Amino acid sequence: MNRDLRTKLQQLPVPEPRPELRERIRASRATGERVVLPIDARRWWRLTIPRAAAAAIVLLALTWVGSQWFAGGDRNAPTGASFFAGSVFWPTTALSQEVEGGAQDTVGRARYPLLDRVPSRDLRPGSWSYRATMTTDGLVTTEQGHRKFSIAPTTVGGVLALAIVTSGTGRYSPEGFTDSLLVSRDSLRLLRHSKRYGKNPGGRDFPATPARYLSWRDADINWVGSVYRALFQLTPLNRSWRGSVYVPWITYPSRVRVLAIDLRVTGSEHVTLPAGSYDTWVVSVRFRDDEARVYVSKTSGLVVKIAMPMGEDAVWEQVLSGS
Amino acid sequence: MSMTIPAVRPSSLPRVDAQALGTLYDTYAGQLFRLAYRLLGTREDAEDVVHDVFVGLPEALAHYEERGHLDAWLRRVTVRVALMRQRSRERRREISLHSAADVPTPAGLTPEQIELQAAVNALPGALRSVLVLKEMEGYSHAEIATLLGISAVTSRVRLYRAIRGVRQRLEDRQ
Repeated sequence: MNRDLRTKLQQLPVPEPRPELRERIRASRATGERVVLPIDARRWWRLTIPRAAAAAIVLLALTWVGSQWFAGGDRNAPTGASFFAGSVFWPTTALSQEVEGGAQDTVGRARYPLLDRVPSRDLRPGSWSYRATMTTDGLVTTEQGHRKFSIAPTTVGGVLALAIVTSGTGRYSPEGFTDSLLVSRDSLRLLRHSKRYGKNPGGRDFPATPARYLSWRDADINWVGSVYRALFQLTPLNRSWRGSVYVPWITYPSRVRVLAIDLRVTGSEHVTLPAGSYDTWVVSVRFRDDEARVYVSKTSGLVVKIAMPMGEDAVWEQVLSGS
Repeated sequence: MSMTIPAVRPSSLPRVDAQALGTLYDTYAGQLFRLAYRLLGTREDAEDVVHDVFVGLPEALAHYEERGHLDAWLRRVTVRVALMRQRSRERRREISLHSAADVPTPAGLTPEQIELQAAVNALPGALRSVLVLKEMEGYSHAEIATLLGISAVTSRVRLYRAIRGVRQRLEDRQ
């Protein structure tokens, strides 16, 4: 904060309480008035921590019992998941996502049937613009930059491909970022994924016949990017639709954790946005402890709005502003 | 000044007689009033908060366990009472005759201070609380988060918006 402004704030005069306040307090006490003050509640911790520890021990014990009861988990499951394999809390059937030829490329836990196949491969070329805002306390709205999402035909090493690109700017990436997926036009298999934040390029190629390759859904999930916009163009929704996908969560420098995203249609809504009015399916998207609402046009499969809570009293929104 | 407190207190609780309460008032009332005034913006509300704090103090002191930090404990309690009053006031929309920015300000302010005070008063309560606690009272974001029941990140966001709101209003008036 500007030190000058802080100093001016601290120097703002404050009046003194009136002398009769003391007598008013005395009179209130004398007449038996009592006020229950909101004092510290630190004793809560003394009770909660032991209870939480006890609950954790019970949960671990139940998990171990469950794993013994349902013996026969996947012995090839990666380290870390093997302890829980087959347990009631981590069913064996959710340990793998069959992508091609029985190869496992993911681990984790999904709530809904895995979306390991898409019914259509007809991604529609085009370009769409989105505007992002953050609203705090329902009162203060600030611009959070713009996103552009595009699908365009291209070739990669002579192979017919589609470039699925999300680019934009924002408060945390003022120099702009680009998240690009190059996928085979025939199979939608991922050929290359690259990210660029500011002046830092990044990318990875995926071999044609890998033993364990990452699915094409490797996308910028942090900003709810390409994955949803592409997925819903390929997957017709209805009121009872639900499904899960696995995405690699790449952490510095090269560790990859594969986590589940659970998607479920929760209702329908008519929304009016800068780009027009749309009848939409409202899709709940859960990733770890976060939940976003994605509004998908019923007619085109286009994502027209994304709303994501940020903390307790702020909502980050992205709405279609043009196409 | 002497005060008579009815003997309704269980013997196990520490005794705060009239003289002790008077001493506490003389020592702390001024700073607690200033804190409440900065949070609420009006003398009447600030006096009500100090009134409630001192009326409830003899019983509340039975739960005071932070020996040697009475000052900080009283300030936290005062902040909580002020915030409760602020929320209650917002629910009842008490400020219906004036905009929040037009409440009376202390006499003797310079024109610049009047503008600044009006800009602070114009902030929504949630933003004003963080601005006052952080920039005028010196609380950390972690302490503010505990007091307001929000995250430290939210506290930072609110402070940013509060400062921007104040600056925007000052610029608009120039």
